[in-house]
Amino acid sequence: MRTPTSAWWRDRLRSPAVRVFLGGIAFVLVGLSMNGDGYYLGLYTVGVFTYILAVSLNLLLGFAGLFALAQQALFGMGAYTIVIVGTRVGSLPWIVCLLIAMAVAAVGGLLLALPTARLRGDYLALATLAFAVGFQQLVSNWISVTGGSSGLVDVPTARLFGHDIEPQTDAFLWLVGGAAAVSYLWSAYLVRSRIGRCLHALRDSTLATESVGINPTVIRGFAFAVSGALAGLGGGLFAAYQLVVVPTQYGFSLLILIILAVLIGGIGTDGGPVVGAVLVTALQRFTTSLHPATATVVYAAILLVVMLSFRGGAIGLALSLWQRVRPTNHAPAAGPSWVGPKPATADLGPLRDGPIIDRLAMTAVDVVFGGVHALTGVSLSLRRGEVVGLIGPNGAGKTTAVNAMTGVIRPAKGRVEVGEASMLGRRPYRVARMGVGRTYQHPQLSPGLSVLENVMLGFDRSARATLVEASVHSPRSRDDERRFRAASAELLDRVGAQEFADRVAGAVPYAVQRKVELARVLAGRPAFVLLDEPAAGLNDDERHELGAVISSIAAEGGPGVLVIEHNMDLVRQVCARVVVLVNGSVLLSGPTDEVLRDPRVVEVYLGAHAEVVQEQAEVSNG
Amino acid sequence: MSSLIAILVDALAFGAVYALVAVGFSIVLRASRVAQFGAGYVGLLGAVLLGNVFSALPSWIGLVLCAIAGAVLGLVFYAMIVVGRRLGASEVQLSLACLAAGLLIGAIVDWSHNGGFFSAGPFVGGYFTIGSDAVLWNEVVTAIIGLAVLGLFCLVVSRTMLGKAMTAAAKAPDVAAVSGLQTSRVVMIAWVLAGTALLLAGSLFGALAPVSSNSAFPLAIKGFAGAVVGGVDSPGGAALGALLLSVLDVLFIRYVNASYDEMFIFGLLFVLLAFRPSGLRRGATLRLA
Amino acid sequence: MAEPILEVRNLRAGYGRGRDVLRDVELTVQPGEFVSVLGPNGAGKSTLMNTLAGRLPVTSGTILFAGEDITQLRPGERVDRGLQLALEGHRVVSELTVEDNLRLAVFRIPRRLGRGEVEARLADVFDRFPVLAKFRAKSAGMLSGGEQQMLVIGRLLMGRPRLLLLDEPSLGLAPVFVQQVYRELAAFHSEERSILLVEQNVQAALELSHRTFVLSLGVITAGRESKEWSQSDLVGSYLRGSGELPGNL
Repeated sequence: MRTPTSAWWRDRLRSPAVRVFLGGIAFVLVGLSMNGDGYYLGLYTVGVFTYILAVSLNLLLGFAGLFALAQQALFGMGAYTIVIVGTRVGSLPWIVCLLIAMAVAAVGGLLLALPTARLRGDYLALATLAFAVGFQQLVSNWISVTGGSSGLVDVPTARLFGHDIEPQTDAFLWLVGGAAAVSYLWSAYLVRSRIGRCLHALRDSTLATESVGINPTVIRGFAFAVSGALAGLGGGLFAAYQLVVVPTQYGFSLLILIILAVLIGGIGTDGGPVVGAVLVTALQRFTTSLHPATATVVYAAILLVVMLSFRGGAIGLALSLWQRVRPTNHAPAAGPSWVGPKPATADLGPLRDGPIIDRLAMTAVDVVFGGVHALTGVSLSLRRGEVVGLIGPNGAGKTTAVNAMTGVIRPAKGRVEVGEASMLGRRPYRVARMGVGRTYQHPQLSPGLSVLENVMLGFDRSARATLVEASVHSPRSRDDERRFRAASAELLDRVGAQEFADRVAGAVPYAVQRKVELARVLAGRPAFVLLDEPAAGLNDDERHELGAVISSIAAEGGPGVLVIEHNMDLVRQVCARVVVLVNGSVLLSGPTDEVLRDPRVVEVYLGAHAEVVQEQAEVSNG
Repeated sequence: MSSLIAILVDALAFGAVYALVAVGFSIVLRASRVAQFGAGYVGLLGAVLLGNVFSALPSWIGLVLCAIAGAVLGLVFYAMIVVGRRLGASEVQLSLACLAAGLLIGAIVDWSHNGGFFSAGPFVGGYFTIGSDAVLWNEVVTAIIGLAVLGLFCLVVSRTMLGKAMTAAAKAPDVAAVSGLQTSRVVMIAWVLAGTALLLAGSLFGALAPVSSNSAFPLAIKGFAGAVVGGVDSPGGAALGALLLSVLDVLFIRYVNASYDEMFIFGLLFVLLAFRPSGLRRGATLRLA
Repeated sequence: MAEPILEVRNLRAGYGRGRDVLRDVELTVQPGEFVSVLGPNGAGKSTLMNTLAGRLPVTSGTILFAGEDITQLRPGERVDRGLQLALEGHRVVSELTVEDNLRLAVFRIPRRLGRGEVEARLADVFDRFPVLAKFRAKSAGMLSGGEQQMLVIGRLLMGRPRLLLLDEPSLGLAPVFVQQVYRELAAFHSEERSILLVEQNVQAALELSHRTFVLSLGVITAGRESKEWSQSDLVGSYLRGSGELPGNL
């Protein structure tokens, strides 16, 4: 059922299908206007190749924030593969060779993805540069297969539907244009799908996104594979265009051009690669008369200036500005503008197989940092439905304990178990999938996504459509999105943040951010929820409201909740039991009132002013 | 036994070069969290200076002048970083700016010399034979010079108060600053030292074998790989890692395949980055968050 | 009456863009005095220390050190004049030895102190803190929290500051170390050094300091002789703010 909205045309215009249609018309018109002029046709064709490469790099650099600097190698992999396969395997149709080239380049991309999931930006840049240089050496030396530095000259002509498509013809232009359309569509749908959402969140905070159960390696690996496939598509066609494949075509000078195209054009946008391709092609046009070394001087100088002055936060800034425009008054433009009937949350199906887990326990855990014991022999357990407080002075190790329970830190000694299963050595996303959710001292939402989209991240692992389906906007993936959206709205309702659903998460009030983080955790329907100082920064009323929400979550067969807190009012309001941690060891644990009155606890916090605490307790209880 | 000596000389001569790159890379990465991706091209300039510009002078004077040139270039890079930071560039952007600056240097060198090769040596001619191997005296001399310079750098970094100040400014800048240490001056000195190390590395490399702008980056990556092996955070470790890597490289060239040694090294680097424990240390991921 | 070593007038400061944490803070410290500032979490205690040390900019107001206006001076310049801060959390340079940490505290480019002077100060610190002397060659990261806090104070002393700013020195320390640290601090004021301390450890702060201020929600109450603060006063001052109790963070 279509919900008419006041700016329906704006929504329509955002749809990749519409855009590619309009873009296609523009492309054909410009192509026809060249009137068969060989020179301009050549320039235009090169421009389209640049566009395809820019789209493939934009996926990684612009949307995923990954500084992958091996696009030229993936391009080269496509070019070499199509020729090698085409000449050595006799009777394969050209289109099949092209698909194989794309597949090989996609595998290349996957290989690049291996070090990326947890690497810092410059390590990733280093790894990808090493890959690119290694590729250069490979193709320059493997004479028997790649022809070494002389390259391959016996390049099969492009052939579709029984017709040869020679380079420098109109037909070839339409072929490349078609490839550009495919590149755009695949990339655009991917970015608008749950994969794009995950990539964005991973960029903002890998760790926090992992704790919602999202596997960074798989998501990023997929993005790399698609990026590789697109570069390979470009490469395969480029080989058929140039009719010769030599190593020098796939070196640093190409990398500089692609990076320039992406950055100058505008990272993380649909139109960026178009603008970038136009500008870079124009740049190339003006430097052809120069000595190649001089041209490189120009490109390198421009790249230097761009790198220095390109605002550090611009990647996020460009996207967040864009996001600010998107969710203005109605549904986020990430999906269709109409929403089906609200399914009940039960529609999402069970999140875990196996028996219900009823206990989360850490036993005799030691955590050591560089010779210093952060935790010594700490044991604590949590059952479903109970709310336990974890208190202690700053630096006592409370957050460390939670980190140990969620796989962020590996204990030197001891056990951590969810039900019967040990959690030791498991990655945070795995622990999350085992049913342990957590929040952080400062809300770790993805500031550029809307509030609703942040909560939808929590449902990601219950998606029924595969990654490939999601990247092409399949009916099943659209169905997933509908269900996620409805269920997220319900959860926001439950925590009392529904009115902020379409607002950008970075712009909502602090107290609301905390609620949204809680909703996101609950989306995973965890068996246990660990809250790290949830009341910090809240005023009295907000804190009381939060306490009510916490209590309602745990009630009636809900998850077990562990609350790290300093605010004793909240602790008294929601916790049945309290564990006191001092200097990395458990001082004592027991029912809340008893513990808070115990003179040892009082001494740890307050020194001689124990009477004050007791007076206050009596006043609030009496 | 005889081949052992030949291998050792080879490994130490080239290893000293890679180690100097590794040390320069590590010093700057620690001090500014910026990866000096232009390292190879700074080295290229070193080869050009020693081999062309200072070719008329005695080698040792040439090397001293190269050291000074390296210091100046290091200062220029530092200035670039300061400008970039003021413009709000992130560390990855600055690392790529270093790459761009390096490419610029490489392109200028190419343009002025028509893209050829440079040789900065040899320092001495002749060779001696051990068993069936011929060992070039040039390599022995280069190895000695290289190791001496390397030793000097490592000494400065780990034994002097300046070096300790660099560690403090890198690892605990607020602790260092709160007692009054001028952290920006320390960082500047780090870049100057790194510039010297990188330029000299290239000068020595040019004395061992002809260098072109195409070999600049692969040279640098061997240095980076050494740093990753030994631990980028410690210049001493980085140097050792590079020396070890050089041994592996020489062995690979000798006994496996001479043309694919770079692929081997880079493959090793890649695997290390993919699975390296310290890169995947839990504590480290908290910083990614 | 001698002029105060520290005088803070109408101080407003915070994290910029109208998010002022401190509002019209006024306080003075006389030479040789030991002053403590108590307050609940979020009151702005660390903000106050960071502003006094020059690590945070001032929105408006003045800071006078021994009569000189230091409001616009950078941290290094304040250290050179004798105003030095010890960060919270007993932070040291873990990768260096105890001795290196101490020497680094007075290391400048170009050198400012003669070799002899540095050795003399080092010997003095080792005299006061035998523990540090014992572990002089040990890596600072290997020390316990309490030992690291002593190293922090040792580093502070190397600079021979006239006014020490201490940000929660007892934080995260076992009680026995808290005793030790406070004993050392108590010894200072007899040497005409002044101390300004923010703390959550109410008892120790009241027992050792001459005067105590309470900082709550960025506003400071008048300083009183520490022994004059009664429990109900404290509770009142705290509760006027966020409703949190003393010692809570």
